[in-house]
Amino acid sequence: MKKGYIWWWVLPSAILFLFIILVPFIIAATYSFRALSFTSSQAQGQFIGLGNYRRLVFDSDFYNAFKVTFLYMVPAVLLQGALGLGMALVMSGAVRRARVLVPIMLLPTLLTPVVIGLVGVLTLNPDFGVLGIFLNRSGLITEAMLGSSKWALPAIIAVDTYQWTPFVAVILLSGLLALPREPYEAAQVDGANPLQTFFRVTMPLLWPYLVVAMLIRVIDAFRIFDIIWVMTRGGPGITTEAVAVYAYRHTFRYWDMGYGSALIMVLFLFISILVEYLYKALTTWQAGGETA
Amino acid sequence: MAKIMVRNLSKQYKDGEVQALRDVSLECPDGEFFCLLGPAGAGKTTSIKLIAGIESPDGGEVFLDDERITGVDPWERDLAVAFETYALYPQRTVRQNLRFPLQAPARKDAWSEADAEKRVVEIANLLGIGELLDRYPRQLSGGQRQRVALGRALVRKPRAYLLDEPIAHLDAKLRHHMRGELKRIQRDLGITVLYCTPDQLEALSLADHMAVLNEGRVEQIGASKDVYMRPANIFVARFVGDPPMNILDANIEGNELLIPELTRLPMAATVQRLLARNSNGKTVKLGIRPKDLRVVPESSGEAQAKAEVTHVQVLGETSVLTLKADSLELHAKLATQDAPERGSNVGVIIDPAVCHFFDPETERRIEE
Amino acid sequence: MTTLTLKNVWKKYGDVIAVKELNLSCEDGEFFSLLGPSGCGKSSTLRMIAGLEEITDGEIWFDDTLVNDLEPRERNVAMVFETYALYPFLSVYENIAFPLRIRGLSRDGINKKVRWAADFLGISDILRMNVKGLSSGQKQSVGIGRAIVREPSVLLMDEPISHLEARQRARMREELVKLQDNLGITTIYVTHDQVEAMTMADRLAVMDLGVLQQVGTPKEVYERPRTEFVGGFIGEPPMNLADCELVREDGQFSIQSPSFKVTLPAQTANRLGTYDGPPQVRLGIRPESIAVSKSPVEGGVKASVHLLEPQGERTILGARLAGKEIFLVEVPPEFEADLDEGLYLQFRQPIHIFSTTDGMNLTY
Repeated sequence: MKKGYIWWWVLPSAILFLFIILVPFIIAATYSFRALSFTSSQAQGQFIGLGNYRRLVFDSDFYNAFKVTFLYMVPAVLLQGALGLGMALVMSGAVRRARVLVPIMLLPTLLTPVVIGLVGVLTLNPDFGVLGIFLNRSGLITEAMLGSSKWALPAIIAVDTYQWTPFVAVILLSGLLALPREPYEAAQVDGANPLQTFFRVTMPLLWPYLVVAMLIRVIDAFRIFDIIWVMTRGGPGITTEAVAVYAYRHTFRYWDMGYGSALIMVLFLFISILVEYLYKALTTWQAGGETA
Repeated sequence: MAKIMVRNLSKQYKDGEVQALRDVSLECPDGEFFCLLGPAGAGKTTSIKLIAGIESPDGGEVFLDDERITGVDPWERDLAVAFETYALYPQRTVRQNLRFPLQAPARKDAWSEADAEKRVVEIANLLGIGELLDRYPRQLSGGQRQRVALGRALVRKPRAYLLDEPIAHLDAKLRHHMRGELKRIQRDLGITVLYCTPDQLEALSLADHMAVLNEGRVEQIGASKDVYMRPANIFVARFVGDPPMNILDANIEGNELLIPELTRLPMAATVQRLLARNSNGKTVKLGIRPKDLRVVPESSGEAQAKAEVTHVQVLGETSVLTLKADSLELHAKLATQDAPERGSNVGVIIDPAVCHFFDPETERRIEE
Repeated sequence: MTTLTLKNVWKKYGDVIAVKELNLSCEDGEFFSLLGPSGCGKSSTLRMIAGLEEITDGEIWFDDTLVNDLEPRERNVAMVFETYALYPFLSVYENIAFPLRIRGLSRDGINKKVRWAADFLGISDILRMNVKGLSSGQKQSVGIGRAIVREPSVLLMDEPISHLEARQRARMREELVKLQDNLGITTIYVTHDQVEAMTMADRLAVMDLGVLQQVGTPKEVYERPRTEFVGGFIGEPPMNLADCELVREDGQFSIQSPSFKVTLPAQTANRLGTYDGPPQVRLGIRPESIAVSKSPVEGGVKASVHLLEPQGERTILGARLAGKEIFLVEVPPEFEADLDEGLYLQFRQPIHIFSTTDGMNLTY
């Protein structure tokens, strides 16, 4: 086979990648080492080495942003994992008969976070939102959730979970449907009751799928922006200001490109480490993925 | 039809971790049925791939009729291959699968519609899949798919056929029938066939000549009969023939052979001479086929040794006995009606004249 | 130690009858084989005994207990699966220990039993390994270990060695028989390979299309097949079968077809004595019961050489009869002949005559 042909096919995507992703990224990276702010007459793009990064280390708002991100991510991913598992188990029987249920299940995931966020805002409004009215009248939550420092982040977690649980469920579903039948028959003959079968046979077999789904969600959670921006803008105050939202504040509110870029670079570093883990998890699991 | 020859072929995979073929040389004469016999991993499929051109050897050359074809693209070599794993085109019907080799775009000598259809029907009927021509592979059983794969190879008229375990997945009766058919076709048309199998019985019944492979090396090449009657080493001796040949350690003491825990055997002059000239003079490995191991009643005066019958396998008209004498285990084959009961004691007779002798270190056959 | 009895057992999948009115009994400690081609109902039967499938109709008894409505774990059966069905994420030790853990045995109790099973099967050195890296032979042993560790009443095996290499299979056949002998557990062994059933079982049951054909010892089933199916299925190379007519002349029976006219020996004729069905029958004769001669013989059947298959210690001759049928004949390895050379065949005892209406052996 003449191997040269391959490169021609790759060219269009390569060009796209170059201009939309690689070039802006490199530009942002260079900005992070410069003092560049459109609102400051002194910061005109001069090279300042690690200056922005040093500032970062002493920035309490930066640590707050990380804290917010974790406070959001941990409950959200765990919830999505548990609910996703439940959803997958419930749907597995039905999906075997009607494959069309899968895209229907996935509808929330398919919509953009902006839309979901807006729907969330409307739904949670205590005066006319479906959930808001219920929560208000029943006395459970009488204040406007998105304006409350106590309830804003939980609201965001709830809406995010609404969007992404089906995604986790579908990954687990494909795992469930691919599970070998034999260990189940062996377990039946060995005498396991349904609960024992679930914990000793299904869970270990499903574990690789769960790990992959959760890792993907964790990586995504680090980058969260749209939902927060649409629902609370990071407020009230900075109680829902995740790292990406904080970086946005500096970059496009204060126009401090240099500092904003530095913030983003740190985020990028974190995510890269996580992606390394995801890649390893995926490839080693695939290699040893056959059943006995 | 052409003769196939390979010289010093070697091939490795996974950066040297797996040595699939080591310095393999063999020749399949024109118009012959040649078998590559060996256990899994011996290098049979690799050999087929290298001869067909699907992969390139790391060393050595492939020749077709004395013409060097190493490095020539597979479709230029004019060979037909039937893969063990079928490799059917799933989105095409059986008819289209069979037709493809005759009318493929890369083919310069494409057949006409009418000729191709006739040939396809002819081959399909031969293989008993004539009624399945309009089905898709997913609608067929494993055995039917395998016959389509075989048909796709047979449908052309190339210079030689390379068949990799082409009937392995058929049930016993059908396999038996197909073996006969293949042999008959080969004889009638005088085609050159290179056939891989791990089944020694299949190789013996099909091949004019065979090569026994083991872990990428050629253990023996020869006419089937010779491989059976005069195995070149212990591996071939135990691989060809079922149940496998019994191999015993023996000490040479003067004009007798001492088999520890069993018996002392007197040697005829010819055997003595053979061992005197060609062995290390002290120890030798003695091989005797189960059917040559004579079993007599315990009380018989002829018996050289005693053993206990630990297992009787009734195959039908013949049975296989498992005999135990101290720590030695032997197998004997005899008519079921003469077979003793399990648990009984019997006498055993070994005649050195029908034994095979092997060097205890090299494991090669000892002969003049 | 348990006796197993099946009474009028039926299995239907919708309208498809997989097992029809099966009656069987297996003795305590017996190695019993269910043999037949794929689709004959042997696996369905095994799974009904295990409790993995519902019994459409009929009864299954373990000793004096009716087990129809009992779950697999209540029946105290153990099963060895064709594809091993090991728990892929567990070690060898944990796989074998699984049924004991389910029952809540003590840690010491489990350890003792697992070690016993592992020693018995010679896999003590791989107890700590994960089952993913094992060879098929080892996986097979682990599957067996898991089955015997519970000391079940009945041991069920579903084509356990079909995925092993030829050499391993031959060895495992001996090992499994030894194992069963030592344990003394009533064992039901399902296979499509007649060599396996013949060489391992105390008794075997041949099934075809859901119907039981014959039950007997390997010797009985080989020498006196009850139906044409059994005759043709057991034995390698397979029995030769041909259509012919039964003719009675001067108190003598003979079979005739366009290919042959053979007078039946007295022994065979006697067994046919009271037969009064249609004259169309099927001849059944094994390859080792046919003698070959190159020169004309009295009463010989004319044939020509179609194919010679040397098999080492014997050669199988494919002989083409006048009516184009191919008969397989066992000849000595030294036998040589040219293709299409003329020959004369003689049919020796035992000669089987099968009915064309129900396949039964008329000379049974």
